[in-house]
Amino acid sequence: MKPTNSPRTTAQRWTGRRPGRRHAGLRIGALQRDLLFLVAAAVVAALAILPGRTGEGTSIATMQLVGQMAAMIVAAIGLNLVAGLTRLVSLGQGAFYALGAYAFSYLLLDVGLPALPAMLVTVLGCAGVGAVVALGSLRLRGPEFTMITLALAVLVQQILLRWPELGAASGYPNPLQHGTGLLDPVSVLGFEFDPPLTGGVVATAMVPIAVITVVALVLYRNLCRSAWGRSLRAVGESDMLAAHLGVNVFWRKTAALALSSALGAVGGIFYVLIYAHVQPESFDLFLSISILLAVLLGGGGTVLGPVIGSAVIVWLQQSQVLDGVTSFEQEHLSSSWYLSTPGLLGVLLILVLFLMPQGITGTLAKLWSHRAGQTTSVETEPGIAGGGDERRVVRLLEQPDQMRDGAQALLLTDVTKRFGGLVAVDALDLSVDYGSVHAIIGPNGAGKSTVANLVTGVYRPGSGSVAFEGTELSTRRPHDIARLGVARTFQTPQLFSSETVLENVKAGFADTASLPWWKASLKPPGQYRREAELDRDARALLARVGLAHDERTLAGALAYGKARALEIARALARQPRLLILDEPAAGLNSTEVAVLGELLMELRRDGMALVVVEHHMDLVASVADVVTCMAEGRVLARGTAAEVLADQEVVAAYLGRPAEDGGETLTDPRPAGGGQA
Amino acid sequence: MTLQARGLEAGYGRAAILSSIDLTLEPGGIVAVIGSNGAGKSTLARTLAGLLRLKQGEIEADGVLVQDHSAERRARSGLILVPEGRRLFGRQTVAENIRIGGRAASRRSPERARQNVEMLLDSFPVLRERWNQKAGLLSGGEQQMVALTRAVASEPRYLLLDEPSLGLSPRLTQEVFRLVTLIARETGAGILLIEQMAEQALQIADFAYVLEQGRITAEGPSSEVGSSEAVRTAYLGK
Amino acid sequence: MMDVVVTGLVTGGLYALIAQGFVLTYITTNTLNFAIGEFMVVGAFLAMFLHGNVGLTGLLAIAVAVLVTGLLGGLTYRVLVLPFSTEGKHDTRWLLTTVGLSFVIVNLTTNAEGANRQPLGFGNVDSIVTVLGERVTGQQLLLAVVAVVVTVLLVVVISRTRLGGDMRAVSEDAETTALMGISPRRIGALSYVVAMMLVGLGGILWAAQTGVSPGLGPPLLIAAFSAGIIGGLTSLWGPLLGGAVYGLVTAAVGTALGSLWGEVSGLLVVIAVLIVRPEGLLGRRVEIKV
Repeated sequence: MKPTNSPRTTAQRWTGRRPGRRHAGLRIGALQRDLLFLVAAAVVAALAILPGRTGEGTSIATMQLVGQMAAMIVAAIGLNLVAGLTRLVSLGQGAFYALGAYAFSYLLLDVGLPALPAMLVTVLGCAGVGAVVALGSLRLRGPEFTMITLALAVLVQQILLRWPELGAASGYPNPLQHGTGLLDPVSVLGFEFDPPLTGGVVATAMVPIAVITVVALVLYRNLCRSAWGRSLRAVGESDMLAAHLGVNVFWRKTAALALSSALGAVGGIFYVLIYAHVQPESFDLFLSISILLAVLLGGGGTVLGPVIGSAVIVWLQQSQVLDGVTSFEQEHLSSSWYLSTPGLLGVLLILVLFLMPQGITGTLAKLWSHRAGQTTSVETEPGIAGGGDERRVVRLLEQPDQMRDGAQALLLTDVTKRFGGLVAVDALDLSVDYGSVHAIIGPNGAGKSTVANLVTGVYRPGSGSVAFEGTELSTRRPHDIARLGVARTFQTPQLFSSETVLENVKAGFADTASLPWWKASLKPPGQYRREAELDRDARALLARVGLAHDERTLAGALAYGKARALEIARALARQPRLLILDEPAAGLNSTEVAVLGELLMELRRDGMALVVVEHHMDLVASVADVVTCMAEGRVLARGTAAEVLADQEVVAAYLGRPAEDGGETLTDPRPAGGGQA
Repeated sequence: MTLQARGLEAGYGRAAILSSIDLTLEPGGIVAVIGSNGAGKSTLARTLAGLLRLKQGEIEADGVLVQDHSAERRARSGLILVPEGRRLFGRQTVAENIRIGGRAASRRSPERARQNVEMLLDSFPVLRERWNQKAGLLSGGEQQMVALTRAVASEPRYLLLDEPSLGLSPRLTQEVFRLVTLIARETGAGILLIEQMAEQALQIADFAYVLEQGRITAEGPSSEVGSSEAVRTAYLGK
Repeated sequence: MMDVVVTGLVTGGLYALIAQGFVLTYITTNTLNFAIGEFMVVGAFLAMFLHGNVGLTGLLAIAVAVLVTGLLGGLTYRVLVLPFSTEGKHDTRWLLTTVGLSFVIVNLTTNAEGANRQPLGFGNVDSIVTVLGERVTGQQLLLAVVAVVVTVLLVVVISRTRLGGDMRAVSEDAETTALMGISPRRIGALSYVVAMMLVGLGGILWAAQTGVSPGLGPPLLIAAFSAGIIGGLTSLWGPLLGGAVYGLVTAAVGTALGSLWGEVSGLLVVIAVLIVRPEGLLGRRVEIKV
């Protein structure tokens, strides 16, 4: 991994300032951190299974506890991909855990597969089931998705409880049907892995459990911290936002649920490795809830939260602590009306949601980054207005051929969009050239934002054509359109408020949509290089919009003007050729508006085509090459800013009067009815 | 006996959209708050009505500080908002919409509210024809009429109108504003007309505030405000 | 053949009654009480206690137990639902808090009363009735009749009364309803009270036939939930249709292939409905706004 060109000089070229210590040597830092994590995870895992090395009877309980923790950890990190990052709350992870456990046992005993193929088939099979569930349920969000997963969990448990071939309530295997109550120790390449069940036998099964857990953790951590993980967070924030970043939301959710299910199945396999026997009542709804609780308690959406949460939950379930609480209740409150473990965990679930909605790690991280954020903001420099030449370092766009100045980027022809009886956009023609800014103004309800939504694929036009570089957009979906080179910002900035500013910008790069999950989790050397490039480019973008000193601040803590700037930086990350800004000046103070104007002019000089939906007339007047004023869905006037703002009809539409000198008659050609007020 | 806002600051999340807003509204008067879109007009309306908690400042209605009162409590005491976009109950009939508006008046003077509604219906008979139609099927102008009638059924002491002209042609806007004057005259309510259509709003208002980027940049009798540069600047830039 | 139809429809009545508890709260607050099965248990235990230990007569015991269950429902809304549903439609924390509550109730009742079924000791219509030539227990028929009567009553109340008007308004646009001086929270709490009263009644009547145990709820939670989803959570008639469909399917498949596959087929119908028509057979399609 010899650097092809020195990162120091590159960074210098991009940001136009001497890189700080944080920036230099970043690539090595990332690799070191990852190695450190691997080593730490391996050490913890080794220490955890160490007490079982002698096989003494006293260590059995400990090993079972460790094994259960590992199973819960793997299932919980899987669930975190769905419930934490993608924010699809699933109550079905226990079902995949159960499926994994039963399928693995069945494949071993009844089918007679060797251990490794059995494992592989189990994991792939559960991933497949997960994908099928996803395909059926992903149009749903919120409660409906949760309900379908709940139904799945109950369905699976009902089947297991009563399916005779699987032993029903007697468990699998059971002596009556299978001649044995325990599966034979799993053997791989001649090595036998004994479960922690009998004294005097070393629980060698703990070794593969530990190894797989560490590998799963490392891959999962890579995945979460990659562009792929960012895409899940984007989906979690809003489907629409993710689509505008080029992410195919449907397949991304399907992949997340499949991965999550596969990890759930691994948890079930661990269970079999530990107990060599499965009982249906081990996999009731309570298991699903426990896994979800582990994720929430540790911190949904954080990388390591679910790991910590799982350890805590399993420890609570197995240790004497909850029993202690129970006997305390029995002694001091009531000997019959008391809560034991399941009830106490129910209370814990409610308390976590109430007191610690971000979980253990989320809460800690917030405290930490709050401090960090403060320290960085103390060293503020001129900030947004500072160093014009330094900020404008390089053009971010490698200009492709089609971006000749003056070439046509966007062409709307006779576009009409109706919502029920309301005509939002009526036979609109509009064209935008490269190297120019086209501003759309008009009173509220004129259809301006609808135009932005028509171009980016949020709405489909009822009739007419929307073409970008000659490609028809009206039948394409938002993520397709984004990939063609169209980016946008929203009326209210849509940011990942609990992520840093730097992470927010990185979500904008094309990798978010294009990086495959396996590459993200394996993280080959090329990915380190790519991440470093992303960091560097993201910093350059931040410098360009005046946020160079806020990169570690949480986006949710930004002032409104900076949040808008951040959204623009993220939109630029994909190197769009057409940028659509929906009211970028709303909420900005006049200095910020001026800086925004400069930025727009720079982008225009870079050859980009810009559509600016705006009502801030000073900004419009200073940046727009062409201004279109809309009213009631139609074009009222078009021309230079000066022409349009001087147009009598425009003035009338804005001020609600027919002409400069006040109103005798209305502009509306229809006879004024109802008399004068 | 006034509605007063003092030093209002409000917004969503951390962003403050309104700051240091002071305004006064007296019964029977029409006060316009004009500004372009994005100036913070709806935020002001929602804050006064209690749909949005303020960050700072006070709201006093008839000597009572109401900033901690819920929206429904403010409505029951006669502080009524007709929200942006009208927000009729589209699946219910015109009659049901107006009847439900009466719920805010039921503990004060339901009888007077009923008389006022009758009065409005007499001067805009079209609503009687639509009486049993689903409100969602009416045209924009008719919907605005229903929204205003629904508000009158609440027997407002202070009536906040958030952009009643939204989506209406100038002619319909004028009709709606005629209705607004009628309401002010007949019910004695103080009307805060929060509008983008400055010129028309100023014609019917006695007093006006200009809202620009969340702050009041000019105020005065509406004839003065109308002839000042402040309005032009707020809309069309410098 | 006929026996399957009759059994299916009659058991569907119980599901419909409980599902009404979902629908009522969903219409006004967009939330569901996932501890609904446990509220059945609470109702049944309360009735048993009031009759057996306090000595109330059967009907009075039922009335008081139903009322108390309803009030507990209102309390649940105030404490566990309202504070956890503040962040719009995608906020589903209420779902987890009510699931947490269900664990608490099951655990508490199991510890106190044991997991075994206890006879309620009263309230059972001890007879066999012949419907369309098929014999069903009087109790099941009673439940089906109660479900129909309750549904008709609810429809009348909601479409004809002032309170019903308020509820419809809240269901359409809670914020604007607040501007009319009506408290959406109060309407929500009231819906929870009424909904849990129905659930408590269903629990008592069901337990009168089968006995009461902490495990009474969960199977019925799934059935009622299925009935609600199939019929549509936004329609008061939904539970009746959904209960009938679910009852018929589970009875038919159950008779043919065994009760396990009966339940499986019921849940498959639910999943199919969620996929094809997420708003349910009678539900209103919610427009997606951007």
